[in-house]
Amino acid sequence: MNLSAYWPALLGLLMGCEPLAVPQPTPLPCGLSAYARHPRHQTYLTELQQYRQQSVAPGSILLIQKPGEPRWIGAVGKANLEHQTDIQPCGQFRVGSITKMFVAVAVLKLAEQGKLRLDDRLATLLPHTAGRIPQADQITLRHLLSHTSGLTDPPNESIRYQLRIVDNAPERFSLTTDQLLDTYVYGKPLHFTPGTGWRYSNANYWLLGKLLEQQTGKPLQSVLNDWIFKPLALNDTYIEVRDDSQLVRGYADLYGDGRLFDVSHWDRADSDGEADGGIISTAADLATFAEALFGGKLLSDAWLTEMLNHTRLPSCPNGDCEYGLGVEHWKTGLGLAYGHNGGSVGIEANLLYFPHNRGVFVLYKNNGNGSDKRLMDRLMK
Amino acid sequence: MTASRSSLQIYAGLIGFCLITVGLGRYLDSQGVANLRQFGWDSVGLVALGTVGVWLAPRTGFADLLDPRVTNWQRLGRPLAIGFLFALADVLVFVGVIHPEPVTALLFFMQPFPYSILLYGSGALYVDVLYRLLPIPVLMWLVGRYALTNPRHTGLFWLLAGLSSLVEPLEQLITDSPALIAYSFASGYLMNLLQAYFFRKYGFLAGLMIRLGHYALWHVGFGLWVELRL
Repeated sequence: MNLSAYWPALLGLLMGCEPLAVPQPTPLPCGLSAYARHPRHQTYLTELQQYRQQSVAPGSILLIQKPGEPRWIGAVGKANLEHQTDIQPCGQFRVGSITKMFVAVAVLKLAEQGKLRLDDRLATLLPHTAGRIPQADQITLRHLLSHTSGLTDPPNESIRYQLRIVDNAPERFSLTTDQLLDTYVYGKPLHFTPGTGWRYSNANYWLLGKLLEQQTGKPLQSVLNDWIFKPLALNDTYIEVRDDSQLVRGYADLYGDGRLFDVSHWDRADSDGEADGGIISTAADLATFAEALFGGKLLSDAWLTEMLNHTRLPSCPNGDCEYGLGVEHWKTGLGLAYGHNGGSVGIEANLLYFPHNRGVFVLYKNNGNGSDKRLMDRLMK
Repeated sequence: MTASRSSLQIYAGLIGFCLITVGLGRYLDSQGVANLRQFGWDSVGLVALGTVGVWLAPRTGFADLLDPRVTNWQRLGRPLAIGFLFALADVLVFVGVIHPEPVTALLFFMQPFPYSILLYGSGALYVDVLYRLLPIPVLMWLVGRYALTNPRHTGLFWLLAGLSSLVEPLEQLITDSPALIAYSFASGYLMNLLQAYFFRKYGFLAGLMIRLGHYALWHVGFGLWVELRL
């Protein structure tokens, strides 16, 4: 066997694993009392309690980080209704589509290393998609990252996909990304010619996950572990499938009559381990990630700018699609914020970074019924 | 023409049916039956409010609930068969196109038998009160009486029937291929419109029977079939 062909790849991987010069956070205090001396403890706690009540969530976690005051993390309510377990500030939860920010960073790191270009074509990068995905030779890496490929979005657009989870969650859970693509994406028409419209699709990130694995020769969890989790000491963050019994459970009012059902098995089947929404993390780890990313510690300035640049298309409202490459642009009362929302049947998570004051806002609740963004405007002033 | 005493008595019986559903649902829940869908007190309240519709219907050009000119085939048999046909089409599309894999658990539109009879029976009544029995006669009475000087105005009925029939299919629009979305909307709209027409021509029970026929197969029969196969 000729190993010489593998050396460039191995060298690239070693370079990719180079430790980052990021301050290592100290272990996080877990009890709510740890933040009781914070100057705005009572204000934040009251707001969080009201938010939890109004959103009818069993539990909620909030992290506020602003200049001039220490980081505050609070948690109110229950992580698990069956066992009446209190939710903790350091509780681990499913972050949903916030995962896309991590995956986009990993892809952009490959681009930064010169191994990929944003204009590379899907059919070239993943040859087996040619002939299976319409116009795969026209879809670029940028299109996948920015949701401008026109690909269908099975979790939100296919009742077949949704029913499969509801009917037999373990069976759906056992499907590989290749099987998902084969069943729900290949052969399906695009919504528009690639690059001419914007339409959010989880399938873009299924493909990006495949691409990362193919380019690095490692499973997705190793890529994210080596390039982001370990260098930033995100010790409570992972993407691989593990026992989920200690995670905050997700709930939904399935029948609209006020009773909450534990739907964690659906959320798990839908996304655990996958590049579109599989990360498990904590509020503190998410804030550390945001600080590092937007502080320029994960990507060079040029690639961070590329990531944050607006996707501009005539078909978007006012020409601005309010999305970059794996990052959402939120027009808040305090100006533009960057981050991502993560929503599923039983969870709702938000991670936002405010460039004007380098503030970080993390809000999580274990009821997937949407969230009220006004809380953010009030607290991040 | 006014609502007969027996029409009001029959409707009172339907309200009683809803009360039994609430009671049994609460009892089963207390016995630990999982994932049980409840029929709420607010829903019973809405159904009770439907008495206004029963009273107004004959005054606004609808056949009375027990109109003596309507045969039982027109009031019960034929609409029930029509509802079955809509349900049969839905079941075939579901098992043939939407979910060809074997159904291995009660889905979100199924409940344990025989509770499903009560829940979906009451549910059918609730939906028909919400979309037809209350809004159409009340609006016909108000608009027809004060704006058109004719509370039995046929044109107004068709306008209200056409608009109210849009609500449910739009609320329940599925997300999938354009063909499935079109099927879901068209079948839902047609069934609602037929219900409004049967309500007008043969009385409230006739319109309700279409939905009961649909629910009997789609919710109750299909659910029972799944339970028997588990």
